[in-house]
Amino acid sequence: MSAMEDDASGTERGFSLKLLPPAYASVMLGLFFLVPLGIMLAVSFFHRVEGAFYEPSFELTNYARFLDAFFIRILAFSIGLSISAAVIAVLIAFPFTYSLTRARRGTQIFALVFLLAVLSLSEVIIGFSWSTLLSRTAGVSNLFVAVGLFERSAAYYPSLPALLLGLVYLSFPYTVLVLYPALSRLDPELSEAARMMGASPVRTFFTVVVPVMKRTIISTIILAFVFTLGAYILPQTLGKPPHWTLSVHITDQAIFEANLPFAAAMAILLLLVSLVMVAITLLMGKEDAAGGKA
Amino acid sequence: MKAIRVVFMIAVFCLMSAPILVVAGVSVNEKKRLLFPPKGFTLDWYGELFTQSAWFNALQNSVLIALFASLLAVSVALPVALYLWQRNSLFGRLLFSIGLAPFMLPPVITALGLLIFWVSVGGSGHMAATIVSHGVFLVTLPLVTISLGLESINRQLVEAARTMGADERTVFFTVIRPLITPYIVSGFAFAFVLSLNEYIIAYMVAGFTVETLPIKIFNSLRYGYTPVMAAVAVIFALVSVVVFGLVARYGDLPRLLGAAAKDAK
Amino acid sequence: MSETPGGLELQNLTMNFGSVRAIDGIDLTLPEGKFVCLLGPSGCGKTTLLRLIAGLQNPSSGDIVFNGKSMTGVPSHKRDFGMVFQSLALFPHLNIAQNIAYSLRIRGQSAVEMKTRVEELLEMVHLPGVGDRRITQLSGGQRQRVAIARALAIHPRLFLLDEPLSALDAKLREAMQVELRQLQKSLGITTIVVTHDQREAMTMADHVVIMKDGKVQQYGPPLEIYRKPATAFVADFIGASNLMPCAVTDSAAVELYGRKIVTPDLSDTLRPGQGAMLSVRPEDIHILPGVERETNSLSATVTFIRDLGAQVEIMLEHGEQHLIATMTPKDKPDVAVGDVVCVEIPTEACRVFPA
Repeated sequence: MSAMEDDASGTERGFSLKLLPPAYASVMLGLFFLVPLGIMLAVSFFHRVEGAFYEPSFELTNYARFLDAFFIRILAFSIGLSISAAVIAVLIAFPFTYSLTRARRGTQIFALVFLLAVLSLSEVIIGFSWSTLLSRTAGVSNLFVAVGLFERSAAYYPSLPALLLGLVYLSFPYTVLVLYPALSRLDPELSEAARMMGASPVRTFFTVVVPVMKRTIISTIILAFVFTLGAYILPQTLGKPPHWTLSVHITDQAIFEANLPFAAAMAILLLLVSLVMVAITLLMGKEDAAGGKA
Repeated sequence: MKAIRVVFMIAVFCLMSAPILVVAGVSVNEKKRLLFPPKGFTLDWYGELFTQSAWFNALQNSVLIALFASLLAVSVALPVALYLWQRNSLFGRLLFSIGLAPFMLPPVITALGLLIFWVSVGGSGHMAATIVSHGVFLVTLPLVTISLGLESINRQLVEAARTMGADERTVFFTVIRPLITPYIVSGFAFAFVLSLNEYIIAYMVAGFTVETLPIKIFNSLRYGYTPVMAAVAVIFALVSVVVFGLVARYGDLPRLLGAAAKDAK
Repeated sequence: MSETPGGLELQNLTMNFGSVRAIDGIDLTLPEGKFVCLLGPSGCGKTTLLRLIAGLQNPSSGDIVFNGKSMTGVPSHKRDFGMVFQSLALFPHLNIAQNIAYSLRIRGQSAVEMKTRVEELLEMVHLPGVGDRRITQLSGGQRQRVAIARALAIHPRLFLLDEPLSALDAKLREAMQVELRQLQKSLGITTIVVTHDQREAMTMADHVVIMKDGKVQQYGPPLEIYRKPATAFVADFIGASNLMPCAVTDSAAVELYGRKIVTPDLSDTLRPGQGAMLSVRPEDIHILPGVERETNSLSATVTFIRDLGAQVEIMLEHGEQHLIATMTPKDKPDVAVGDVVCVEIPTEACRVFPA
């Protein structure tokens, strides 16, 4: 705020003071976001020194190590897991968001507040909550026992399905909030036109709503994919060590193995995967803006 | 069909709230055990958050970091949004994209970058480092809300103020700022709640010395269960609901999240 | 109105949105094969009424009977009606031919049948050979035609249009009005159009329904409504009117600002001594030089003269009362701004409504 005052008062005195706030913002973003990424890129080529951190050099060992079957498997597993979670989340979120945008305004606001609250919940809390819900002593299985479905309660975690469930839970609110603007701007007359031409509500949904929103759906899956790729706590709380994702291994290498160069190399690879994905969605958005609107 | 839709939405709602409900139940267990349905009822575990110094310390850290980090985020976001709005230059758009980037990428990348950065410059382990890191990481939220607010301002308002003799400073304080205040506040609120809940960056930058509540919960989770963590989870969920509820009460939440304007049919 | 069995009957139709009553107990019978315009100011409920007929919304109470059959409980996709939407609602993911064939595909027609019908329809709306194009490749007027063709593809039992021409520029709109009317006549299909443009209604409609606050103000052929407005609102809404407060003096005269105005026989509801509204069309007012006569005249000051070339408008003032008179240039009286003139109000031009 104080920076803004400088901006305004600067107009009379001269041109340089006016540029102070944007300059301050550029320095902050540059120094604390771009520079760290730059240093990380540099470190990814550095040489690891056992016992210390690293020493400057230029070597590709850290990237070469990644080609090891173990880490390739981790990358493949991470990507497969995140894509599965993203697709499941969008499959549920799309009809949900569509219904939501057609609901009363009060209902919409209630649901949005609720989803924002869930979205902002720490991954730690989500991991803890689901591990409780899936536990033997306090979980759903007690409910099944009470109903008489099972003899004895059981723990459902750690396991791959539990992890997948947790990731879907994590990305669902995000997915809804990404879909919400596009779906709430979808002209309701398109669906009504289909209804007038004889299409049932279900048929309208599949022959009009889904195809019109095709690009939005694909880019939402990609964004949800990148979002779940960042999950760090859930693989550790709901999954077993073989289910640890790239994010977990990056932290593990950085903190516990004290191998910053290798962690940096993995982070750079993750960055590249994410950037490519985000770029694809941005390009699709551009195309939409150019020729989509009738 | 409408019935199916309603049932579907309610089912999703129940599934989404199930974990929190179970945790809320667990948090009132009388004994220090993980049981659901709860045996007995006590609010002692909520009290322990404030009386046990380890937990209270983490609470203080979290609130302080969230407060200053979200202020910092707004202070960076506001000039960027204004700059882009006033002149749609290449540099403005670049700055805007950089402001959006932390949120588009898996946070572990930013976290590792900041870890290496603070280790290099020597700030690692200090609360100030966590505040600055969170502040820059969370710039995206106020940036998006403030830009939305600016977009909704009719530019002729500024021109009208200019013709009536207002200089740039006066225009900002008498026209622009009053109109975007709700957006600044909601951007601050979003950043605040997300900073409270953020784990990986806080952990990497200063996790061993400056323990925030999420870090404290995760550490406790490794060494055994205590109902205090359930209590914290419930409080966090409530804080989020209250904050976003207030944003919805005093602002147009659907529009803030990208729906078309209210009166558009 | 002669009641035709094939027509559309609205029975005590009511629609509430929360506490707002958008449609307030409408009873109306629309004959088969006619072109009907729903006309009224924005917010009068005309679009809601069309959506109720379409089945896109369900009435709070009352019934819609079509061809002698109640439409209650019949969802919109089973009514076999055709509708053109305000936004046109052409599907952006389909090309022109696919858009038009959508309803045919739903009904399981073969590819050959669909192709023939689509070509026939494009021919009908004067757009042959554009089937392969995308929606975005068409102009506004062309999209309009595609939307009409699409709605007519299944030979609908009822053709509904919601402000269909509002997105077009004035010239194109006028041309489309004529075209739409000719198309409807050649097909003989019962058609209901929502519009707020009275010129559009006058051009196209066999019958006009004037609506206000969810109620029908008047229903009838356009010229009849223009000549014999049933209420002061209709007189003011359709064409321009000079509305003046007056008092009834006997069965065929009122007192206007102390002057006696002889009118046609008044309706029985207007009793002597009662306050009323006198309505006179601007083109029926005569302006004469000099002072007022014994009856049917009023002195007024000329405040402004608008000479539009094809038509002259003279604005006048009698105390607080504003008046407007229109005439062709050759009938323009020799008056100037500031002159006090005699405004003649012919008996046959007077219409009196309860205040």
